[in-house]
Amino acid sequence: MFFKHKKVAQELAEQLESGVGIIEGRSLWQDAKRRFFRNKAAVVSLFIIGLIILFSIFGSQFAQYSYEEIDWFALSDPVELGRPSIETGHYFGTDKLGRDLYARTVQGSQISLMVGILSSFVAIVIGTLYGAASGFIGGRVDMVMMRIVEILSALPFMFMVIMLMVMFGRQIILIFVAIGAVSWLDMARIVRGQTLSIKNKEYIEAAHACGVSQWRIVVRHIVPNVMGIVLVYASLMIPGMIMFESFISFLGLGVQEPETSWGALISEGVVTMEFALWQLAFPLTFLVITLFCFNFVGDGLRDALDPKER
Amino acid sequence: MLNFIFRRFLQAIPTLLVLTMLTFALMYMAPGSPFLTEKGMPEEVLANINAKYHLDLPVWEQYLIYLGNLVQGDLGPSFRYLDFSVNDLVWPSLAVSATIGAWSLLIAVTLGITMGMIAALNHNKWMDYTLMTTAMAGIVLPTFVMAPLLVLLLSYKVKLLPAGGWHDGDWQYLVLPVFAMATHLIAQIARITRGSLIEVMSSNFIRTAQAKGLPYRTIILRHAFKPMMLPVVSYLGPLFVGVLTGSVIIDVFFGTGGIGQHFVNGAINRDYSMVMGVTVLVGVMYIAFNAVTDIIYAYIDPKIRY
Repeated sequence: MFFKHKKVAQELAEQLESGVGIIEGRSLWQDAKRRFFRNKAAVVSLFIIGLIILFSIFGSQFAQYSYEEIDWFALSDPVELGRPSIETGHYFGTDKLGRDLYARTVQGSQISLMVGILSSFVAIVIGTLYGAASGFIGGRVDMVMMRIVEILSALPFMFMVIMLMVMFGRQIILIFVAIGAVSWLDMARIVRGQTLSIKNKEYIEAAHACGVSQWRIVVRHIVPNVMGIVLVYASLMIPGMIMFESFISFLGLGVQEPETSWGALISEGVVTMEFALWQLAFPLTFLVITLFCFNFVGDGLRDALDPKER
Repeated sequence: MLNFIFRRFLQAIPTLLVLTMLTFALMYMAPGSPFLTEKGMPEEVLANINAKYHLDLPVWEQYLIYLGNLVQGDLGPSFRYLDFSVNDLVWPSLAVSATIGAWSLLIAVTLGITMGMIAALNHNKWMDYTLMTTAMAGIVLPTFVMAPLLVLLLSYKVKLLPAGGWHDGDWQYLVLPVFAMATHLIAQIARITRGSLIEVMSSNFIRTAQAKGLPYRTIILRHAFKPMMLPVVSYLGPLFVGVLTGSVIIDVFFGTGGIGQHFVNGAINRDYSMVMGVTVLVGVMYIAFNAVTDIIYAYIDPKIRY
């Protein structure tokens, strides 16, 4: 009995010395990564999003036509000659003006993805910093800052953005700014809530004691610790942004010709769907698949990073 | 409670002021004047027009005049349709939008909650998976995709329902717009309800009710239903926004003549006063609806102090 114990103890001691076979502690991020990659739907979605991004960057290499060039021959009979076919080089057919739909879909994907990702980025940077600052400073400043958010989020921003587009012209940069500046409000609220729960932790106190400035505490200690929830929210925000841009473009207020986006292509395709269904089908498929995938990735990230699940 | 309702509506006033200020500032800052034509205009005529629309006064005075009219319910003259005021154009179309909106809200709430509850009570069974996959499809298919798809299927392939028009709200003309608008909302509500009910069903007071031996139906209806509704009610605000923005697409696509159509046409025609009028009107409804949501919320949730 006694010897047996001794043997076990010895083995343990050897293991400790050699450092083999000891269970290592896992950080939150490692844990989340493991959980995320076990979620098949999310991984496949991530892969498809990757493919679509590659398509938007390199797709134009395979196009036989440029996105603004009119194929007069195909225009003469859009229903027959403008059909999707490999021989003519119009893989996705032509649009109603005889332009190559493949090249235009590539171009539209670029714009839609760029709007989605960049404006989410703008929104997240503003929202995170604002929310973290508000939560961290607290007191009267917090009250005023949150009251501002409250008032702003009670405005019908969809309408304000469209108004902005009308009055200052249809510039793509304006879409970024307008959408991004509008959608940071929820982010700010979420981050503030998280910050409030973090700011009384010991390591923040330690940073205070070391004489770290307030701004640096916010940027170096608070922001990285709310990153998890920010990431989840971002992955759900991007499809929202893509949809928003498509919505504006569908109304004919978004990107300016000859540039295009998924929404603009869909709105053109809708007009001709009775006899040229492909003009609607291709951009629609891209939009819907992208939205699906981003939603699955978002769900996967939430499951992976949600502290309640631990 | 009355005191709370009163206070909640008082709080809406600063928001309304900011809304009018923002829209007014946007209109003021917009480049060019709505009356500039390519040919140009004699200076005297331009001066007369400017005087008629108070454009010659300082900004703050213009704003005060606008605000004064607004308080009396006057949204000002349309810059584009010279014989009409914004009111003349907006009110009839508001009735159309309200009809479509009310039906889709009703359908979205009843169907969404039912779907969500069925899914939650069959958590992780095939019923749950089927319903939630359907809901996911509803979420990624925005209104402007749903509308053409429905028309393509139900009025072009199968000639079942008219593809557009209003005809004083005959039910055939109502089905497609309402359904196109409601799909997205049904899906959202179903997802929220499901998540909420799953959480409620695993809480302690439900376990107590089960331990007491209460029948299943009573547990769901008497104990689980009210707490389940909390997140759903707080979604009512965004839901209303969904109806408003959805109406923009629905009106353009189906030609139903609702308020969204004036908004888009006004935007394309640079009819600033029309766009502003609609924005302010929608904003007021939106803010009022948010206030109502808050009040319902306070009524349902006893933890909220007022």
